[in-house]
Amino acid sequence: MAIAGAGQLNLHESPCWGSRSVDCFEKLEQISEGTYGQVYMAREIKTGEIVALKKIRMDNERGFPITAIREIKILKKLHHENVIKLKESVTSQGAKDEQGRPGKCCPIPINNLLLGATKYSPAVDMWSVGCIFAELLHGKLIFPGKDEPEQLNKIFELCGAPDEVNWPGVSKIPWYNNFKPTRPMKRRLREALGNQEKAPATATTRRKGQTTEITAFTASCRLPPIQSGQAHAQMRPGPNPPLHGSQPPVAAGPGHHHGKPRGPAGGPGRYPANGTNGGFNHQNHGGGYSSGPYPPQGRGAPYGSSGMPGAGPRGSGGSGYGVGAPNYSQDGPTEVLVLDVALT
Amino acid sequence: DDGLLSMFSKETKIDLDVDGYFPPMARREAVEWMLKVNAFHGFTSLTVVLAVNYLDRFLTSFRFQRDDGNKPWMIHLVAVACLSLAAKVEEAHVPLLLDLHVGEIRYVFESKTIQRMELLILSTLKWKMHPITPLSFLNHIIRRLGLKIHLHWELLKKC
Repeated sequence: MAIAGAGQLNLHESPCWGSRSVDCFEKLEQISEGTYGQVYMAREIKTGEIVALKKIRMDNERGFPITAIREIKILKKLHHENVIKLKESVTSQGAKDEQGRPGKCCPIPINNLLLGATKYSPAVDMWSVGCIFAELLHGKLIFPGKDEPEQLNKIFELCGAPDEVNWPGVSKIPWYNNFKPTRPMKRRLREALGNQEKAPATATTRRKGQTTEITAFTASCRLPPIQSGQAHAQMRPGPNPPLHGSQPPVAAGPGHHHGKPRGPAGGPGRYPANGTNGGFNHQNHGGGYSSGPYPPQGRGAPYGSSGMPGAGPRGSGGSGYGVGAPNYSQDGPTEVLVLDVALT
Repeated sequence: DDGLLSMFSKETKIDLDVDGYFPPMARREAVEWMLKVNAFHGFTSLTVVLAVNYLDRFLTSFRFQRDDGNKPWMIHLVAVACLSLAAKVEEAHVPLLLDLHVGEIRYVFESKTIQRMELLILSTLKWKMHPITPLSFLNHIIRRLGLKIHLHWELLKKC
């Protein structure tokens, strides 16, 4: 086994590739900041067009974030006037590493990891789905906190305080001790959202039941991703139902890839099917690599002037999408910005 | 059939002419390695099909330098990053970058290196990560059959 080691890697040159840089845009103001990055209002310098600029943070262990890949994938498929359109992806020469900075939540707690949990998992998506359902029912934001502590407090007020019963593993999550409520808080989701006069007529009792369940604090929960509309079968009505425990995954319909048997699980980074840490608190996974024969972290990529050369400017291909990245820098992490179109 | 026509129109031809930069065996080795990792992690067939598609598109559109062919680690790094991206596009559970180093490992890349290559690939492929593949056609045609018998479902599951 050979390591692509220091001698082979030219780290100092900055090949140019792709075609558009974030420098084509002028940031006007920050709109929000979430676990995965910040969103800015920005203006395209050339055209004056106002866009939303979403900055994606890189993940050191996982590379380009899967959440961004999925977001791009889904946004490309969605064409609706109420859904923001993805205009372009550009890269920037990396600002300094922003990992580990306490994230302030955006006003909508969708897709946020709570309490410093670092592990993105299906449970996070379930939480987001629950929040969206609840907001549809409620007609407005359900956790309108202006920062993370305030937002967490609003979540606790509505959903009850998290503890080891409703969220196994929560006490091991990094910021749990900093933010745990000082007084006991009861779950009052049903009271708050159960009798929505303003709720759309389509909000049937059954849907309310689902909302209650999905936003349960058992977000670390083994709730399977919604599949073919079957997920609700797992969601029993009734207050405060503990959804933890080893629920069998919903059998997906044939042809659905979630239902396929998987190869050997158990490598680091798999979502645990059960167990106390419930998919969160994974900061130390990947242990066992540190002593391995890997080059020390912090070295750049093994392509440089004599490696991967500048590809030269490429045309945008006319798709207006993913026009790539210029000025690839070997210094510091490079970030990719996903541009959403017009905030008009 | 509109669906089929649309797929034909979106399908792009990849001219695999790596122009002597890499030894002829290099691509083959990379693909074989991808198949191994795919099996090890239990990824779907579509994942490896995507990964090979990315690899081929990258090899044909990236402007390599003359002596890049003498760097066997380079094509391996491209393969690692392609597989990683494909898994992120398609899989429900994606391993850490370091866990992609399985089987008979000739090179080990640190995560940051793979991440940079991922970006280079995304950019070079113009962020088009959902190409029409042979599986798209199979999937479409099998569905058109109406999935009336068990065999259809079995076949579809294997796609």
